[in-house]
Amino acid sequence: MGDRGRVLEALYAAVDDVNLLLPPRDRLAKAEATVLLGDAAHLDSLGFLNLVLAAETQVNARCAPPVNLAERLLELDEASLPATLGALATLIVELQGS
Amino acid sequence: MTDAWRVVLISDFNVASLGGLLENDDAPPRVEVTVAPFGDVGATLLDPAHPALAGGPDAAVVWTRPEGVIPSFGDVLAGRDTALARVERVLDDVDAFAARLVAFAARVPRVLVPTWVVPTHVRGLGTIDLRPGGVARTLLAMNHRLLQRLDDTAAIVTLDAQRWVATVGAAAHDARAWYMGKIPFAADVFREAARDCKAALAAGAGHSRKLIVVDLDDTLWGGLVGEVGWEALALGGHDPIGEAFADVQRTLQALRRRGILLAIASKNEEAVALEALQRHPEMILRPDDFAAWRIDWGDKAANVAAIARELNLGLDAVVFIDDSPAERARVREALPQVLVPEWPEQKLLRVAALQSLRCFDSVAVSAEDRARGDLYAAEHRRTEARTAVTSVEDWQRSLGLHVTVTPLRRPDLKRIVQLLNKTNQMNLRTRRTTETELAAWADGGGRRLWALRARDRFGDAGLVGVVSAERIDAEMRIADFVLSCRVFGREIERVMVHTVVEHARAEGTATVVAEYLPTPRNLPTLEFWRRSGFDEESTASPAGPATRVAFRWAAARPYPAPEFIAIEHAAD
Repeated sequence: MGDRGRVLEALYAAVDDVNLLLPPRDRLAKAEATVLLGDAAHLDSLGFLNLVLAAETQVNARCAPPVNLAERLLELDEASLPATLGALATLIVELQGS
Repeated sequence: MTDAWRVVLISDFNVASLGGLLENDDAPPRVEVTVAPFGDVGATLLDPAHPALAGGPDAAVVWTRPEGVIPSFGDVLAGRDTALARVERVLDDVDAFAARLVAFAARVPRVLVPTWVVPTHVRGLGTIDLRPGGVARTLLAMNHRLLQRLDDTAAIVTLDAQRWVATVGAAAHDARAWYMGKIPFAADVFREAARDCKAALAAGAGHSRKLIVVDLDDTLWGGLVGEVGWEALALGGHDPIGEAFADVQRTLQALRRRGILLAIASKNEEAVALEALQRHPEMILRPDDFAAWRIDWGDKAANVAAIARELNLGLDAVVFIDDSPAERARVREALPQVLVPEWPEQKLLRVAALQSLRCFDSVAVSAEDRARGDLYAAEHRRTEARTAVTSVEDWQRSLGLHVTVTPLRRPDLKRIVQLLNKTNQMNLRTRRTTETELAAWADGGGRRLWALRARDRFGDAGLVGVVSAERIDAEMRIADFVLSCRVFGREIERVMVHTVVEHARAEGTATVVAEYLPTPRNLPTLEFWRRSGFDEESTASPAGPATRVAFRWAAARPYPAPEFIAIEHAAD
């Protein structure tokens, strides 16, 4: 499994964590195409924050080097935020390589 | 009360994660959560018309940070002033906050209040933080004062948030979540909190488990007694495994003292197993500690069901503990209502597994709870006596049953509410209530409530029955008709009916009416009323297919009490 595969595995574990907090209709699918932000997203701002925190925790528990995902997202403008799980995985892989 | 409880969360921080966890928990009672705007604690507690309380919640969780609701504690955190006078001011603020909670609890039936914690990295005065004026010292005093001020309010249940934090450890407080979302705790703390909140709500709703059925070999002691003999069992002594099994027994004994019944389902020769229980010098639990047992080579699921029947308990009141995965799977499959916790393969970890079960939690522990195990032991002896007489009537006469009927009195309120909330099988209308609600109800015009105590030659069963009635026009309607399953079949039910009919006659009402509200578990109540002599009247409900069943008695006729029961009416 490559870096991206391990990151996705960690993200899906984070999705499991966050789904415990969400009503059934809003639960996230474990797929790269799952929308996180925008009109088509089921997550509100709290849900997105919970996913980011869970993702950072899961990624750093499973993959090296550790990433500072939450603070990196604070530096991005709204249009640059990852809008799907796949885009979030891409950002994490970039952070690991930087 | 609707199927789903309406629970409002009130906090000075973002507590929405707790709401999600509570709503996603399928175990009864189901809850629907409203989250009050965070930072609005004072207004939400004080304003009965606050939008978060619209419709009247069934319960509330008021979870706050100490610096969020006790402004003077912020000064202590900031190190502005550590003088003793500051601590006194902090405690005055705690008193004021507690008073708001008590007033709030008069309007909301159940209020859960977690204790205050600060992040573990907050070290205040460092190594001398437990001296007067330190943050840790002040926080201990604040929590102690809060508990004291809330102790006398039955509707308030205080929860130990420090335990949630300790369970999660160093990661309990998440600074990222605080700065980005005003969430002071990591998700795992909210999970612990949700489990305790749900256990407290379940206890208030009468969903606590009441009976533990345990296996013997390698569950209560180490080794197979039929193989090695009782002298060679691993139990107590200077041996890690033996000590662990002794601690399992001590934990079960402590649960028994809280009112949880113990029983045995074991594949063994009964005489061999009982000899071990009687003779092993380090056995903590003796035969008298068990309310029932089935020690044979039969199916364990059938034996667990038989024990529940013998003790007049529903299967959803039962927990089954066995070291064998196959036996656990069998009972789970055959009796899905029975709770069968996973049991650690490692014997040294089993005490912690037993102690961490939340299914026995209750909102109060009464004297009757503490004595329940002994009461069932007396019942065991009653049953043995029954085999020595020729008929049920002779047996009932031989008991020398004495029933005291007492009007509602303040000291009995806690036990009465507990009985109303816990009793499922002999319960006419299954009203779940709180002390505050019941006292207010009883103060209404035309209402009476009586508590019944029973004793016989084998022992004192305590307060076992509650019956209440409300006069509406020419009818005396029975509002509560609740009897502990421990005393079914002694005809105390007829004393309860007699009490209401005599009251109706004294009040000059024409008819006594008992309307039966069915639940999945109160069929024994319907069966009693069908034998009661009252006229049954069934009408289809206009709302749907359900049928309304009511029972009527013309109050011109007295309703006889069983002549073999001595009845004493205590004065108002």
